[in-house]
Amino acid sequence: MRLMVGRRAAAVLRAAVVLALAALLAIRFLDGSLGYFINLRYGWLTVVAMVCLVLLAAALLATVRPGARGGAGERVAMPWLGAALLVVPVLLALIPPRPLGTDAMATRALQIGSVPAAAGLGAVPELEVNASGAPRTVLDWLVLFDQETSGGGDLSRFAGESARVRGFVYRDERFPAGTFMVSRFLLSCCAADASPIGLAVRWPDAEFLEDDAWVWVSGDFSVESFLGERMPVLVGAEVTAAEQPPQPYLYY
Amino acid sequence: MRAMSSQHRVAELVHAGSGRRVRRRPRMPSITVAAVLVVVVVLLAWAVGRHQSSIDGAFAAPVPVPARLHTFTTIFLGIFIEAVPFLLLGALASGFVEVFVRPETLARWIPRHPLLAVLAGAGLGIALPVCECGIVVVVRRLLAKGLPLRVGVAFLLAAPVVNPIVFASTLTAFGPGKMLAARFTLSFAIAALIALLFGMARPGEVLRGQPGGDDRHHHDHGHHHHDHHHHEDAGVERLPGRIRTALGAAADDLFDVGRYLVIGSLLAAALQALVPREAILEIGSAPVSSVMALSALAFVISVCSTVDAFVALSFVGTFTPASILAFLVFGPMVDIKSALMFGSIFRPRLVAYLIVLPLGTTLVACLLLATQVGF
Repeated sequence: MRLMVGRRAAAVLRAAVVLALAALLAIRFLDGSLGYFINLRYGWLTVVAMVCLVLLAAALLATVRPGARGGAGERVAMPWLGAALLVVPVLLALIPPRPLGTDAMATRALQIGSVPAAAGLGAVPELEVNASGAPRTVLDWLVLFDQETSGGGDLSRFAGESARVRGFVYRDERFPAGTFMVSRFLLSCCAADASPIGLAVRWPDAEFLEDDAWVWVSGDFSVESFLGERMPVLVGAEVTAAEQPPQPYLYY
Repeated sequence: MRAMSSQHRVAELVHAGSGRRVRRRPRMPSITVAAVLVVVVVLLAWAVGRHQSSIDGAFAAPVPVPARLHTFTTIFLGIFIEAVPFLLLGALASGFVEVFVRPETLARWIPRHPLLAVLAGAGLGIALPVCECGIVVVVRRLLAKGLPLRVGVAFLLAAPVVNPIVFASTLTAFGPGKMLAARFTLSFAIAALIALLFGMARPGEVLRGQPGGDDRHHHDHGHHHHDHHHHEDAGVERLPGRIRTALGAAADDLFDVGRYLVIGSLLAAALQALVPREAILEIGSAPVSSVMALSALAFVISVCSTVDAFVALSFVGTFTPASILAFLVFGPMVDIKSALMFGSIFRPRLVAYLIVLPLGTTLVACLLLATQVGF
């Protein structure tokens, strides 16, 4: 069904929707939560989008100026459905932003102790251990394990090596008592392709940790069987509460 | 300007002719108020969000939000925020092409030889980056201007994929790998193949009435941006006016196409956040059923080709790569909205061919790739 409205009203309403979308992007960009949704490598595209949206809104509003073309009483079809659906992202953005956590892991394949095979789909990117001197992340360790096994080496090389990593706590019913996974989400493009990765941790008080709590885990690796697979398990010497990192995901 | 107002008059006459009286209601001043309200609410939400995060990183929302809703929202906004720049660039490109490029001029460069002509037609999208929504209108006009049918069909089927914007978005989503290469090669090849088949028919058997003479038909399909498709008149306008017209066309496109992006992202996010992976894995991991399932989904959700790569990302790991390729190849060629629009150019039987042939070739190609090449 076509609903007709005044031409000016339609232009103003559409400009409002377009500006609301621009505001959504601007707010996510400014408050630092953009990284909860997309890989910040593409943050500049969000800026491009904001500029385009403002341009379009300006073009729409330019038709409303007094003296702009068209009769005052002219009525046009308003794309109500399009406008209503474009408001949906704005409404959902009113929910306080939060990065993916353990809830999202319920519907995904977990990667404990190894990198996801589907990463990159086809062009498996050359994952590299960060060389910046920063502490190794969960991903860095998994890549090292992967390089070792694909090079024909043995994981026992890692036994006794000490590590300190940050991640959030995940446990499910399969986990033996006194174990948890220190987890991160691995992202390529946006939250839709996030896959959970993590290191198995053995720590006596694991039961007292809450799901999704961010922790620093330090300890030494011991190569043992976890959920039926042989892998380096971090034997936790110290588990302390951590701040959620400003960029909660790891990227590849 | 003249073009616009005369078009609007035409639209009014059409309305009067269809017997529906446009009732004159008092104009709604509340709309301006609503506009301001939207902006205020968004700013308020921002302020509240900032306040919360300054109190405590783990502060819960004033009303507890279920974790599942958070997951859903994060995935949905992830797809939407990543896709929106490409949607806008696509809309702007197609708006500017509408106003500044005369497709007839480009069409003159098409070679005479049938095969070369088809290949050129399939590559025409590189110069004319219009997405699947804009393409039908352009093809209609070109056919009316005497473009050979085979070239028109090649352009119609290939251009939604074989264009720079879709290349950029697919590259962003999947990286420079086999998915990118396969999507472009297969789309090009299938479009060319079907165009050659169509080339054997006589235009009279294929085309519906006099193309270009029945503008009203388009309006019936929910498209509002045909006010702008008048280069002949637009040529008279001065530059600022033409830029405004192009931006106006782009804004119309945003509303036409944006809704499909929202619906597609909602579905993809729901599939990821709400449906247990095991439930889909049975369909998604089998070679044949996965390809069929994602082809059907592509047809139904009608996501614009400039952004469908981001929706497809959410199927990685659950569906086979070949089925994701089918989604990316078949979806841009044919979906619910483009199938409806095909009806404005071609006779119904030919519309059926235009749906069945791309579907069949995509299914066969993807299954062959999966079973023979191990794609």
